[in-house]
Amino acid sequence: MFNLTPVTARTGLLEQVISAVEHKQQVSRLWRLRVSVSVGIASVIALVPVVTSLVNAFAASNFGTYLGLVFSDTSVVLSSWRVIGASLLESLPAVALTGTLALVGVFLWSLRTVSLNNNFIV
Amino acid sequence: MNTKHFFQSHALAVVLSIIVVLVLVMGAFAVGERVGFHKASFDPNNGNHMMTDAHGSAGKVIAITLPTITIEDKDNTEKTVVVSDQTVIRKFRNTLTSQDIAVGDYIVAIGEPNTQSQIAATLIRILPPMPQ
Repeated sequence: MFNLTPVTARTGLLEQVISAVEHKQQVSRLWRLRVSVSVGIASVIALVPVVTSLVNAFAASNFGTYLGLVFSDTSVVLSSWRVIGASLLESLPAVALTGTLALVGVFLWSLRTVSLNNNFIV
Repeated sequence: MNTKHFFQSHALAVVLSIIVVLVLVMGAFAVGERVGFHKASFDPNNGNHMMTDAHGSAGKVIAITLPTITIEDKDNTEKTVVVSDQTVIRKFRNTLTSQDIAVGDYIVAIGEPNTQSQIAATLIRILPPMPQ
């Protein structure tokens, strides 16, 4: 009923397919490498003002003063641990700290991505 | 462990995960703080008495009318600290009384805020003068 002739692949097809897949992987790897390097450089540049802001924010807050009470008046502080905990939390420069942590995380992520996508680092 | 193995290691992935969690937690805390501050500024009962650091203050004593002590904080805001019999007052290793605090002293006080936006001090420590 059906007269099917067997299909045979032309010579070199397998090598061509593998070569095309490898080429696409290479392009994708290079693109990820460029993005991660750019993001890494941008995060390092952005870290400078953010860390400066964090240091200034800590200096302007009373966080260090309250933290010193933990060591100078340990017994009193431990008996009113909720008060000292609230004081420390309220005086923490949360925005600057969040920004700094986020940029450090982005920088580490970019380093990891660069490492995963290049063949130059041994 | 070479550089490439370090950046591909499980330890770095764990560190990155911890940083992400910390960023999310701190971000949520910062947002909550801002929202709470914003809402408190519209509260007719509390709009004029809001304090950013409600559980403590550190600065120069500018007025003493026992049992209240007025402190000028770092951001030039004035806060009132209420001294009671339960308040522990210390300078270096010595325990003092409220009579030993003088105008011009630098103190740090922690305690619970009350309904008059004052701090009912649990602990007051007299500090060396702060550098200008």
